[in-house]
Amino acid sequence: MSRAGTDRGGIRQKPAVDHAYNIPRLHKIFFWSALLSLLSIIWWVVDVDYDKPWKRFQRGFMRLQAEETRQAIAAEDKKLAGGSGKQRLDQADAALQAASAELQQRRADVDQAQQRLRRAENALAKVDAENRAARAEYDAFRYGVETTVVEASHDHGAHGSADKKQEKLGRFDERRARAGLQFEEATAERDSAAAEVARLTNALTTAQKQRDALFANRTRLEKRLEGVESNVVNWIRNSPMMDFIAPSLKVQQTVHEDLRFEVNFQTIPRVDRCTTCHLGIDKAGYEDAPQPYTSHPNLDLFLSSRSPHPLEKVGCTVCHSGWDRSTDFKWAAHHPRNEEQAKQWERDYDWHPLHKWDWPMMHGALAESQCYKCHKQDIVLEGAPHLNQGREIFERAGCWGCHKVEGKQGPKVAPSLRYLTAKTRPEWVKQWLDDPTAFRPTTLMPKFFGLSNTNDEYFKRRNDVEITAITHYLFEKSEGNELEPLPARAGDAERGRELVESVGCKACHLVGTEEKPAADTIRQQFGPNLMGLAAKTSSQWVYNWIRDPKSINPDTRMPRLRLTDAEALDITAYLMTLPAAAGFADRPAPESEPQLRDAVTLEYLQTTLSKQQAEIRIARMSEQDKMMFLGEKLVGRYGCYGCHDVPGFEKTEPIGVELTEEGSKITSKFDFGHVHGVPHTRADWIRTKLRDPRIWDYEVIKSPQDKLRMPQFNFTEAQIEAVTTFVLGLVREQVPAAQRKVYDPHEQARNAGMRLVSNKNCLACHPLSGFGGDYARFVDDPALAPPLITPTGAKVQPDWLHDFLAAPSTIRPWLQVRMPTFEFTDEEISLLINMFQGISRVDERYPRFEVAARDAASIQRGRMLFGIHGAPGYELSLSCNSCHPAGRALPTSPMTQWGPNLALAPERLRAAWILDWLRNPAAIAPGTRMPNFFYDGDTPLTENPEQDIQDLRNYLWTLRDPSVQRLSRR
Amino acid sequence: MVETLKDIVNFASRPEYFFTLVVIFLWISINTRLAKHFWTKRGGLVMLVLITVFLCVSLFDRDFRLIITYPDNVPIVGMLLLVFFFTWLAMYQAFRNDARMAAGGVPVEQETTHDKVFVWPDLLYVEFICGIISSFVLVVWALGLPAPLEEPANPNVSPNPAKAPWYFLGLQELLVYFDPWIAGVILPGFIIVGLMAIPYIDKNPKGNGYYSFAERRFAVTFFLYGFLILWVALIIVGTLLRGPNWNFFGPYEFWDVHKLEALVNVNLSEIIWVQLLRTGLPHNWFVREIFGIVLVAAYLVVLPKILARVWLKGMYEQLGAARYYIMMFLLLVMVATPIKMYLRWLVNLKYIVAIPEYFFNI
Repeated sequence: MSRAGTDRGGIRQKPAVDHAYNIPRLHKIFFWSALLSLLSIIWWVVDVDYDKPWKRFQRGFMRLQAEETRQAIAAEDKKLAGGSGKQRLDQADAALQAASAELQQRRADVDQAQQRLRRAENALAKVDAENRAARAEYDAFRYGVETTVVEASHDHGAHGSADKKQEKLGRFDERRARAGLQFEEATAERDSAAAEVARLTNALTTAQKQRDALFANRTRLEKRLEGVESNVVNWIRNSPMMDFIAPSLKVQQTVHEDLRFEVNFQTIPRVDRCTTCHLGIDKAGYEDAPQPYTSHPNLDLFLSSRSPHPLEKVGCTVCHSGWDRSTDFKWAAHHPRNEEQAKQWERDYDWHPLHKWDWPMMHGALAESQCYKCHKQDIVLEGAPHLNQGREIFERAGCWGCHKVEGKQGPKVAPSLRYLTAKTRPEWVKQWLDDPTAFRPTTLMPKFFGLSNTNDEYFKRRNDVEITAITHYLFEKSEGNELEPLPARAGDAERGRELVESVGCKACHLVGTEEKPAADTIRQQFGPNLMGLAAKTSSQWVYNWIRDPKSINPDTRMPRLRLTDAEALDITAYLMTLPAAAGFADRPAPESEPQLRDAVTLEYLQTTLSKQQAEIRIARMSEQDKMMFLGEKLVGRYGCYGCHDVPGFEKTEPIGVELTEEGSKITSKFDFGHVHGVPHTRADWIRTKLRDPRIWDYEVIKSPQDKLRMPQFNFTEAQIEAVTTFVLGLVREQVPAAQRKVYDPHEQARNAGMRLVSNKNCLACHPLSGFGGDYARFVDDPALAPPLITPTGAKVQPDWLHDFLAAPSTIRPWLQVRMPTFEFTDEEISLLINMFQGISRVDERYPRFEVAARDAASIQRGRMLFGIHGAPGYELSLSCNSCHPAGRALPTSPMTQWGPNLALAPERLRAAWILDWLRNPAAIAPGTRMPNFFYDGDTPLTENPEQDIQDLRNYLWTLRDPSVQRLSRR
Repeated sequence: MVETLKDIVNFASRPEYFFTLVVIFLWISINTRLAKHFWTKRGGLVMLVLITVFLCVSLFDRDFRLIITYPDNVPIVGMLLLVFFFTWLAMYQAFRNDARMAAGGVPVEQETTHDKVFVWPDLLYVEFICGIISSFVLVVWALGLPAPLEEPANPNVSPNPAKAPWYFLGLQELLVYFDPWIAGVILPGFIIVGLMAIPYIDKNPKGNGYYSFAERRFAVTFFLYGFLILWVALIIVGTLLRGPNWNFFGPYEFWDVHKLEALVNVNLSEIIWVQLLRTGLPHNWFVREIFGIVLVAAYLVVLPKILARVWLKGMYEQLGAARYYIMMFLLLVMVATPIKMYLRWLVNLKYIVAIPEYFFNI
């Protein structure tokens, strides 16, 4: 009102003001900036966010699959276009036509039936609706009645209304029953009509189905092709922004709630996305496809659904490590096999090692280490040769003597140093300690002195002081031995050589060779290389030792070969001729400098005493005191007692770092010192350390006692790789019991016995479950090798096995190699018997089988089949006696062709096993000389093979001849 | 030759020298006769070229390149250039206005500023365009130089050096010299409180709406000192010159985890009682720390009073007691920061007042 008078109807005009900016220019700036902004957003959405590398890999795999599917469809078409396929198709077409023609004739009936069906369906639909309504209304009203009744029971005046409602509920119930009845009738009518239609069109439907069946495969392939080929549907599904609905390119993953990664004081499930790119990994048929599509090289054991490690259950990273959740090459923690591959990856994928992810991926051989997580109990594990070798070396080379590892214990691996005086001389020990390989190039004894951190001028002198003190200590502490005198007669070295070559020494000892065996096992290095004995010990000691090792060292692992005195003498004569490594004789024995020795002694005294006290103490020490003090300190420092039994160190704890969880130790805890060029991974650290155990001292200034002290093992690169694999398997990760292999009682018995088998080096001679049997390479004829012992549990009677293991007797007189006397305890024998029965999955502990008088006819037939040499009817028999001795009846063939004496059978063999053996010997012992007499595959070779086999077995059970047994037990 | 140069730069970058050098440079560039040459267009260009040449040439050094191009550090280098540019821009306008006013003219702003403009398009349109351009720059930056996301952190392996976000690295550098509660709580608290207090303390109307240095010499000098030296320069030290174990590394030095530095810091009480008086430390903490306590009290309480009577008489009268003492307190705390740092560098002083019994150290 008051302002109404101002011009333009009350709105005050703004004063005209100039613009501060040039507006048309602002428009231009706006246009260009908006355009740039739009482009940047397109870049963001399409290129950076959408175009992930894994999508490219998936597209590649789809092309591969499309190509493959097209080929399969073409093959399917070809199959239907010619030959039996075409014939079947023609038949199906003809049948279809015939059925359709027949139906045409009954058109009217069919139409009528179909009309009836339609009517019935309509009626049913109507009644069904009524039925459901009636039931629902009844239920709703019933609830109302129930609450009314309950209320009425509290309020006594309200009974009237409750009764009325009850009455009404009765009417609802009637309606419900009526509708239900109608529904049942209508359903019956519909079913009957449908059956009528089906009956009339049955022939046509069947013919159509049969024809479709021929195309079933093709239809399936076409459907598959639709999913993988590049077509409009797939393009839209996978286009940017649309791909949130149902893309065909998507991240693939398997989630493993029970296989967990440890993070920040808790664990998280593994989510393995490896298969996002490695799309063919669990499928057969992509063996030759390029990476990342290649099939896993061992699908029988891994990833395929029928293998023991299916992808859904096990995943990838539990064995191969790597960052499970990553979908990018670089971030998945791929780890190159070598420098060259690293370079290529840097070029192709901008790859670099991850610094915070502590689990770089492990390829084939190294991944075997992770088998150990679950398979700790398998002493030898099928499919993991590197792990097996690594574990064997770890045990055999005595790594666990210094490096505690949970579950690793047993007799010390190296000779006892308790009985040195009888065995050798201080000069030799000094030379040996100086450099063991100078004496025996193949030795497992590592070198302690003159390594990369102790080889300057000062240490050369100091090493001599240390070696002398250790030697002095060992000899002072050593016990003597009572040795039998050497017989006066000289041994025959030539015969000794033959014996060494034949009785089995070579199973555990290298003899004279300076080269390491190329084998991937060190079972041939179980005992020392038998070279240079003359330089080391006396004939008398060797003679006493090989006759009965336990007479010198009751704890030795060396078994007795039951050598006669003459044999022992010959072997001694031969062994003493084997020279030490070239140049060993010229090496001077280290000599101690008294002044330096005193300085070192003072240094060690000062570890517990003040400088002043130490000086007073050393002034009071005699030469002997100083040597003994220093010797003891040095044996303690170098941990000699880890592998050797050293007097005075029976209970001392090992010196090395515990390795029980070494494979989980975080990489930054590994000290790489000032060494550059070694990739910072666990594997590389362990590998490098094994190559040069003192390398991390490189250019580090330390006092002598702080220096690294792990000795240099004489390993080949392959052995280093194997040990690295094993150590990487020592992880903290606990796989839950449900995911671990569950060992049944048989397998547990096997594992328990296998430990003993490993400790006694049985596999050096005997093949067992596909492992071992190395001795075969020393004999020309496989029949001359120690026998296969895999079937032992099913084959022999436990009582007999017990006696045999306690005191071996000759079963195969043609063998020159001998089963040694191990002097097993009863406990050990039980372990072995259980193991054999476990391997064969046999439970029967007391097999009994007797032939009765009523079997006389069978025995007679068996005798005729067997054929005793020279007896009547021999020509018609199977001539078993031509190879097998049967009691006194010896074969005529040369002994190398013989089989075991069958007179032993009733006492030795299980009756049931003989039947299995006769049915198919080669199935039990592949390569056996025993022929198949009764079956060729499944084809019987005789009229009634089962009867023949039983007859033969029954006959064998009559061959008890005490004199034969005495003869055969030597 | 190149190696010698690198060694010189490495040496000059040690915190004590670096700090001293930037302080001297700041002083020369604003408070001497040479000052006017720095804040011209030519001066700015020369400085920019020098900085750029230094960065570019240094990039040939592997260690320098590693530090500068680490994705976390790229924004810091960008920030340095921006700080330089805006400082120059402000000082350029201030010196120009000072020159005009000295010649009896008026500031440029007075001549060019409109009285009123439209909200649309003069304000909103321009803001809108700025928003678009900013988002464009940010998108391109984010895509071209992605966030340095890495594999999951491994709690068993704490990063070495462990660094705060870059904008806090100046504060983290202070942790070297101060007790954590001072460096982490008190000093940042004073920064915030002090910034909030400025409008109430500073009632000088000069410089409102136009740039000027001559009229606001005291305020600008102390602001530049607090911001450029105590904040930005310390960020440079913390980001680029502090390596593993928070050891100092020159810009051309390899960040070796194994590098060791001898740290033998002593408290003021030890210097006085043990080294000078040779009596050993008293058992009572108050007696032990009495010198430090007196020193701090004298610095914060007595010094302002003396200044008010002697050198800053005019200011005291102009501001009044309340404003004067609040300002002096904040100012002295600010100045105390480098004092403590210098004491550490020069005499290895650990704490002036060290009362570990009550977790109280200054």
